Amino acid sequence: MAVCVAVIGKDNSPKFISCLNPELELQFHYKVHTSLDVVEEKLSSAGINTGDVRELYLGLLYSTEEHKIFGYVTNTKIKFIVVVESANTLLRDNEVRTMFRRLHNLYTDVVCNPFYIPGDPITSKNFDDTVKSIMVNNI
Amino acid sequence: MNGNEETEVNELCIMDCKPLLTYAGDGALFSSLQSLLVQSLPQEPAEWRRSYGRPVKSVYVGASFVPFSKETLPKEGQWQLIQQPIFHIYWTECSDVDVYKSTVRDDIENWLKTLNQHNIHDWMIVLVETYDIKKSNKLLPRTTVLDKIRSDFASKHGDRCLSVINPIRSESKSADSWRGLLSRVRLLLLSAYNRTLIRFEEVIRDQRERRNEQGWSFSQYFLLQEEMAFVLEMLGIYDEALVQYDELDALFTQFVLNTNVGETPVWLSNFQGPLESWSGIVLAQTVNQTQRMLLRADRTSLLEFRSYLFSRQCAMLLLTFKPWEIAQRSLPFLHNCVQELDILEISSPPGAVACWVFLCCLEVLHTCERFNDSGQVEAYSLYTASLWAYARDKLRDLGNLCGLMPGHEPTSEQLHTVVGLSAGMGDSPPNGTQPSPTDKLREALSSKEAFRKHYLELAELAMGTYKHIGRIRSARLIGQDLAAFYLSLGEPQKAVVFLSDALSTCEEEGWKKLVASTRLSLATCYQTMQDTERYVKTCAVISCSAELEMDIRLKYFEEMMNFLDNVKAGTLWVSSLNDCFQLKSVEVCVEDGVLIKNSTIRVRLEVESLFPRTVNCRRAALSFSEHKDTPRLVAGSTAKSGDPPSRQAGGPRRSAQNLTVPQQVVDNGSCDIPLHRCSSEDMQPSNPALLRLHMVEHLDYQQDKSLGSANLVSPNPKQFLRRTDSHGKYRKVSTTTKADFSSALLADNFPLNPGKNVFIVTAKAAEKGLYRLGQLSLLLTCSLELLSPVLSPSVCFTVTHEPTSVTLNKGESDLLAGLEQDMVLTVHSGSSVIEEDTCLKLRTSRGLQMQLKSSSEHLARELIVYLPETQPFKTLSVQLRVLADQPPQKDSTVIEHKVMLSCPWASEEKTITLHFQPPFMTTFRLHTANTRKFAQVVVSGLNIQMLQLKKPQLVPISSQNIQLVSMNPSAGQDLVIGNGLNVSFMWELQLPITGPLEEMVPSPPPIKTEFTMEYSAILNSETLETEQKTLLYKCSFEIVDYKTLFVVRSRVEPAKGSEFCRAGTMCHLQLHVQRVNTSPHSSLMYEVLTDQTMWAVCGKTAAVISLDSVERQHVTLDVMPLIGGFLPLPLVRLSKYIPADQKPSGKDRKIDSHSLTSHPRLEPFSPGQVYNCSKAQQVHVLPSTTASVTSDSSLP
Repeated sequence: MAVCVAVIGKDNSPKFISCLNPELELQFHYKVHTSLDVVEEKLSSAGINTGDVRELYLGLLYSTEEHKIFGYVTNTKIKFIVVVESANTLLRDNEVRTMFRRLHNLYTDVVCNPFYIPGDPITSKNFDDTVKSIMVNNI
Repeated sequence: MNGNEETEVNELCIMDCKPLLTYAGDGALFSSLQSLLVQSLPQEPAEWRRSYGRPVKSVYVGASFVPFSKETLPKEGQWQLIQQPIFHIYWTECSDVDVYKSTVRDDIENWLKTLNQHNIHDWMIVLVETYDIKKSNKLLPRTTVLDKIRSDFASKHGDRCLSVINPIRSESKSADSWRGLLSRVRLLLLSAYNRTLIRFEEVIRDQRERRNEQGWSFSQYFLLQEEMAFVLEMLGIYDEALVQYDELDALFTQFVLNTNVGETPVWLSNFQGPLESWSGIVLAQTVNQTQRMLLRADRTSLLEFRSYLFSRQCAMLLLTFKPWEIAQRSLPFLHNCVQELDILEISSPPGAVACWVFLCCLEVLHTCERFNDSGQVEAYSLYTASLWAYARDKLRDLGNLCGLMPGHEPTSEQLHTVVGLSAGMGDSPPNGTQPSPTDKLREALSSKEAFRKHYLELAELAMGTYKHIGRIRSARLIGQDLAAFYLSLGEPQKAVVFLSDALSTCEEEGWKKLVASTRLSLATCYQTMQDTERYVKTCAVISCSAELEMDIRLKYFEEMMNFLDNVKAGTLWVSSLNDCFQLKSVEVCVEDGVLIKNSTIRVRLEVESLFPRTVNCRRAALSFSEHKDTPRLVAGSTAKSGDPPSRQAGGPRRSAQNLTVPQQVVDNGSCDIPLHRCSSEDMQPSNPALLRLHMVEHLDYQQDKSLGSANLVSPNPKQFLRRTDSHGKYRKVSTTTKADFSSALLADNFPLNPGKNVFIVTAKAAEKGLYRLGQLSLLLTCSLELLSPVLSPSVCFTVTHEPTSVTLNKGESDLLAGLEQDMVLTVHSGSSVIEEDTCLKLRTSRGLQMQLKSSSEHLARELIVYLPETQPFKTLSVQLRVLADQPPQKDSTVIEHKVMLSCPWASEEKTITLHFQPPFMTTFRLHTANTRKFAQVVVSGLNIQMLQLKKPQLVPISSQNIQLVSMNPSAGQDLVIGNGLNVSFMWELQLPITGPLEEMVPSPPPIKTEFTMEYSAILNSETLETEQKTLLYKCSFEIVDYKTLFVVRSRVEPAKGSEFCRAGTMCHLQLHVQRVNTSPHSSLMYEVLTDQTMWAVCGKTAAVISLDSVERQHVTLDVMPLIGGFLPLPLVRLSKYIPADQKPSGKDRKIDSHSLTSHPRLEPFSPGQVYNCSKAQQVHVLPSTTASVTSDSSLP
């Protein structure tokens, strides 16, 4: 169960951030923003050995006592960040991957919308709702 | 655990442990060899071959020896492997078979028996021999002791019995055998370990399988498996030792996690006791035996156990020289521990866990710091940064807990907490050049001062390390925390530095929420610092942040307004416009597409105010400057004529251009196309993802020419698929400097409401040229100026100037004199406005008259034209009627007229030259028929404009009594002239009967006549419809020499006797001259002028005759026709003959005065004075005699 999901554009600006608890939104903004450090680190180190298809899933970016932050980068450098609670010990890596894959599909739907201009903040209600349900149900 | 062990030292250093070996047999012998053996064994590595395909390791084996005894032998179920002898050697020196048989053999037998009893098969028998030169010489050695031993004890394991030459006695010869012994010992020792460990693994596995059984204890299992780790460590296989610990770690973690779902096993509940001690980990090579004992007694706490396990893992990592991995493992380890405390619901005094985490962090960090070569630093910095940050977090928590943060004073309760925490940390380890983490924490908690020092140090270290590894955002986050700390410390200046850095980082990447929250902190700092300027600016930005709650925004808005109202007069604070306003569109309002010099330039601005309330804009200024690019100016002026309206109307059209011609719009900074307008869409850089793809069809044909596939392909995919580097391409946060506002469009005092505002700034256009709009500045109240960056793409306007011009134009056809013509006075207003009742004065030259066509006034030579009010670049046309007088026209020369034009805007009169074509001309001729005279007037049309003529009249105006009798028809066809159409009029001149007196008048005075006729223009050449209005034409002619004086007759007659004139025969030319009127000339000369191909004159061709006395003269001349046919008569010319030296007669004096010469001379008569009757007569001349036919057809 995720507590925060964020979509970050290729220019590292937030395109979408949704938190389960709106009161903690600012805190999550900071967390997601900070995680970009690690994303960039991983991307630049991965850039050196450009072998075959890059793994989109970046794994655990960093963790705090309360939260674990996972990252995923599409080939167009769109970053998905998922924050989960550290206390949630049942969450396995595979489930996080699934979550990202779903997010990626959702994002693809958003971009396919001819009225969406790539690079704009995502305002799709459907996206928002589905992301919320992913966060809650972890499906 | 027996009591013996409890007295042991608390710490065990595995490094110091060596595999334990026993010796039996000849003790004295062994003692002599022991030191050498111990020393040489670890000098060379041995390959440790292991079963189950495990990797072969190269191991340096040391050894320590104990005498063999039953007690030392390992017992079943005892697995403290490192304290147990693993290998057993029997030493003997016996060289004599008999001695062997008697004593040694039994001894060995006993020894082996004991070993076998303990199920030990790792043994060896060493026979130490003294080098005997004699013995080696023996060709066939008898059965030796070694052979005996082998046959007795090691029939299967021959390698376990070895003889060696005593190296002490004969060093030189023993080297080989000694080396053999060493390698044999190593190999056998390792294989002993192999065997033992395999057995041990089975035990461990067995134990592990029973983990879910009642009574199983993790602690015991841990201690068991740790023995394995010890052995591996002792053998120097640290990585595998680490694996053992990692397995234990994972197992424990899993147990803890499982408590969430299942029941907690009994052993685990031992770990759940309340936390009493939180001393941090100690990273040392030694094994803390106290911990192990506590563990064995199930008396250890979770933290203690975890600390111990982690310190062992770290020890292995340190031994493999991987401090960075320690750092890497630390954070997950600490997080995991904190979480496990949570899961197991272990109660702890507040701050205890924080203390422990802090101590652990610091211990790891200090350990890492010991490795300071750059490679290691690089490797571990990646992980230490977050450790520093974590430690700092914890210290802050502790500070909060204990009231050590600035602005707080610790209460007695908090002091009590500090004491409690301090006690729980335990004693610091006594090794200390450097203060241990425990010392540091104690110190930090001891006072506010110390706390601050340590906290700042940690924060700096954390930030520094983050920056070092390039995690700027993380560093900024700490910076923000630090800023809050500094702010509460009362040092807002320092806080501002950190906040500003954080602000710019967030702004660069468009994190608006973070920007807003950072701004709020900054505002607090500025407020504390009483930096009014920055505070107000920040307030302005905050009040415009849509991310924030409205009440916060309003609060800061009020703050800003309050400060602005109370600010000292004359202060001016410049801030960025874009934070508070969004410039939506800029449009130059151009009427008719041009701006004229001295007119008002109006620029319409659409601005979105982000302020939550209405603000009053004291002055809006939009700077502009002349664009120096002169070639573009042409483009601008061409655009002005007609293009701009379409562009203005075509907002969407322009965006369509965006799609098709991207490169033109993408970089429009250099004013490629001067725009009159741009909106916020244009200001944004074009989104390459929105560009229209140029696709072309592509057909693939198969071999049989049938269509294989049809595709749409992009001819230039690289352009669109090019990856733009997302690194280093952040939004630029540039500070704008105020440009030259000396020329600016202005608007004063108007409100700006939240949301969209439209206002117009104006200025007077000064000089003509192309101007580019620069920056927009909005002055709020009196002292806050918001300044935009230079507008891009550039918006330009052109100021033009063109003088007023006046021209006078004719119609399509030429101007005709004598007829009313239409002309157009064209006034082009140029770039200026013509005011109402501006008058133009036209003055014409004589003979030209004009009038407005609309006016019914008479034509006049002076005309004043009043002009209506006219807008710039309009053309006025004034229709004029023009009439140029038709003067007596005797040839086709053009009549030139001038029009002088004076206009109020020009100081000088303008002269316009007009050329009028005459529509016709009149010529006069006098015709003679003997003595009768006829006057002919020919009116020749000169122009395609046809005219109808009426009422021709020729009237003598001199007093003479002369009558001109019209011979013109009075009725009949209309008389029409046109181009090439002539009309002739004829009058007979009737002279009065001349009296004798008058006869004497030598030459009659000329008759003055005047020709008049009426004419009217024909409007339609088909129907010959004419204009109603007729005009009168007058022309005077003078008739001179209107009297016939002489009549000449000539005839050619054949010679006498011939009937006809014949070529080649002489004929007679009869010449008669008769005077019909009195003439002052009586002396006449006749000349016969012939065509010399026709006539030959015989004799004189000319002669003088006189008619003084007679009326007539008759002359015959001989002429000969040269050819036959009808020949024109030879021409006879009569001239006045003035003989030489003749005194001019009185009548002739005037005429001849100039020609007084000594020679006689001839003067011609005027035409009409001499009438030749025979002119144009012909005579029939027969061919010469050779011709047979002749005819008489000569004419008289």
